[in-house]
Amino acid sequence: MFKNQNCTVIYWDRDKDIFGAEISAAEGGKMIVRQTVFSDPGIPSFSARLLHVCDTLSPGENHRIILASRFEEAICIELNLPKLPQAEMQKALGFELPRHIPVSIEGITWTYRIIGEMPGETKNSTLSKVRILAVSRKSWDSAVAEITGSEIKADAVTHPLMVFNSLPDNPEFMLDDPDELLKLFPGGVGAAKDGGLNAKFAGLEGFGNLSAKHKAGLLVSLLIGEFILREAAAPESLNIAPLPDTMRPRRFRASRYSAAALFILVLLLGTVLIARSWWDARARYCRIIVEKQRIVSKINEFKQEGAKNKKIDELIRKIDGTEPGNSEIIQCLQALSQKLPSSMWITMFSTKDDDIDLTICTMKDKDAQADLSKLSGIPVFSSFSIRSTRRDSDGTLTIFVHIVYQSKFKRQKANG
Amino acid sequence: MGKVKTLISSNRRGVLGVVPVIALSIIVIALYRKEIASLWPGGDRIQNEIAELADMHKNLEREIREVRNIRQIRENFIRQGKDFWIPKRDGDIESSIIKKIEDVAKTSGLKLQNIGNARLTKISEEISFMEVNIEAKSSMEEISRFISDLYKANPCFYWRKCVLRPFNPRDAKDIVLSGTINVVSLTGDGVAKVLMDGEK
Repeated sequence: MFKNQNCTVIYWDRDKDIFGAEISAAEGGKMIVRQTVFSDPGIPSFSARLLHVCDTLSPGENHRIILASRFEEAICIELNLPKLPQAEMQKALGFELPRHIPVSIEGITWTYRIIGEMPGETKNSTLSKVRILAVSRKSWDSAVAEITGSEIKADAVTHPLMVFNSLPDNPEFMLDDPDELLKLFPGGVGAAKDGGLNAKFAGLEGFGNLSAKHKAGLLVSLLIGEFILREAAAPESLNIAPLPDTMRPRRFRASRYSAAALFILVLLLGTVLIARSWWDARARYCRIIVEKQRIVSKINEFKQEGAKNKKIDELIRKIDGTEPGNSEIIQCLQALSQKLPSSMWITMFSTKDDDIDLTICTMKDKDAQADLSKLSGIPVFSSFSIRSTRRDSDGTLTIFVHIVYQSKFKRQKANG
Repeated sequence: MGKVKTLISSNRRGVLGVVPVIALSIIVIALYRKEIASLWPGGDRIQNEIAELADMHKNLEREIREVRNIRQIRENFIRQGKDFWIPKRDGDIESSIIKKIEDVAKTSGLKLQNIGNARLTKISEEISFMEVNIEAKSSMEEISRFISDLYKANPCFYWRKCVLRPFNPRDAKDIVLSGTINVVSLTGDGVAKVLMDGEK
């Protein structure tokens, strides 16, 4: 996972003197000590001193906050166990621990950390080196109560020995001795005792002027801070026991609330979008259905109208089918008298229903054909034909013509 | 899985209540899936409905055209109600039609030489033709006036047959008219009522 970049460590010793350090990871594996704070001996209450140190350090939201204490009657041992998954390791230690500690397991709270691996007795087996730290439940509860009383928040509450690479022979003595603690920061250049410390940490210019007690406290804080920034493991894994929820820091509240608000907004917009889509689809569908119903009812209306007038419609069809004769004889005569040239005269006009036979005489047979062709353009006549002609002895040309009359109804039909 | 089993075993009553509700819900959904689908119509359904609606619109337009034509024909028929002889309105056709023709001839100054031989031909239950033969000898002017007045008169007089020829081929002064006049008579009560109402 991601490595931690910033952490704030607050450590208190047996005398309940508190030491705090704000440390950040820098380039090249170095770390920067941004701030160091020591508790004010003038503040009588431990909780108040703790709060004062924390307020002075004022850790940011991106800081991991680790509290460390020298719990009374703390027991730290190391065991070699077969390599096991985490859940099984917990069970195995719960079974193994009572045989290695002089107190009842019910009265303690404990945690463990796998320090490393080593070859087992057989060729392919591997053993895990496990460090176990047990604290009396009473001591743990008392420390948690004091922290809760100070109202400061922390990611983990641990014992300094949990971060040591190797367990010293006399750990309690070592935690009070700055010279011994400095040996845990090897790799310094030069003769100075704190050469290794300066090689790893920047920002410790005034370290040499501190009292031995302050030095020891600060070095323990730096050891814990170095562990937190170096290891990728979550700081919570150092916890001796789970912390109450009220003690846990509430980080990035604004971002979380903003995210929640954004989520609610997105949810709301999504709901509105879906509702709108539903509403539109439903409205469109309803409009279509209403329109279909309207069309169906209109067609039904027409059908009813047809049924109501069925007798009349049938009668009209029957009347149309009959041939009563020509009612427009006068129009036929008028058209003929208007269209025929003065050189032509009708000697006989005979109709039978729509058929009209004419006998036309003329003395000017030269233009007769052209003159008669004018009759074909008369609307009341649908066809015009010359049946025969006859030349009389007096020179008169007699033309027998056949015309078909077109009734008013048929003319209307033809004109649409 | 273990958690689910524990949850079920510890809430046996609740589970017993929920199972029939779920079963009933599934049955209701299966039975009324079409109605439920119509609550949220999808794009395909709407497209199908639109296509169906377009077809219905076309049908409606065709129906409207047809109905408009039929109405026009019906209106024309009612408007031309006077063209037909309706016994209920015009009286008995056999006894009245000859008098009507004689009146028209009298008005136009034509003396009919012969009128008669009225024949009633039944075309259908409601339609009959009354045919009357006429003959006249007069000037073309009088004959034309008679034909014109007959055209203007009600009911409509149809010429089944009409022959106009000179009495003397060498002299066109007298023209002989011989023809058969036809009148359409509608005898149905329903039709008479419609046509008489239309006149009002």
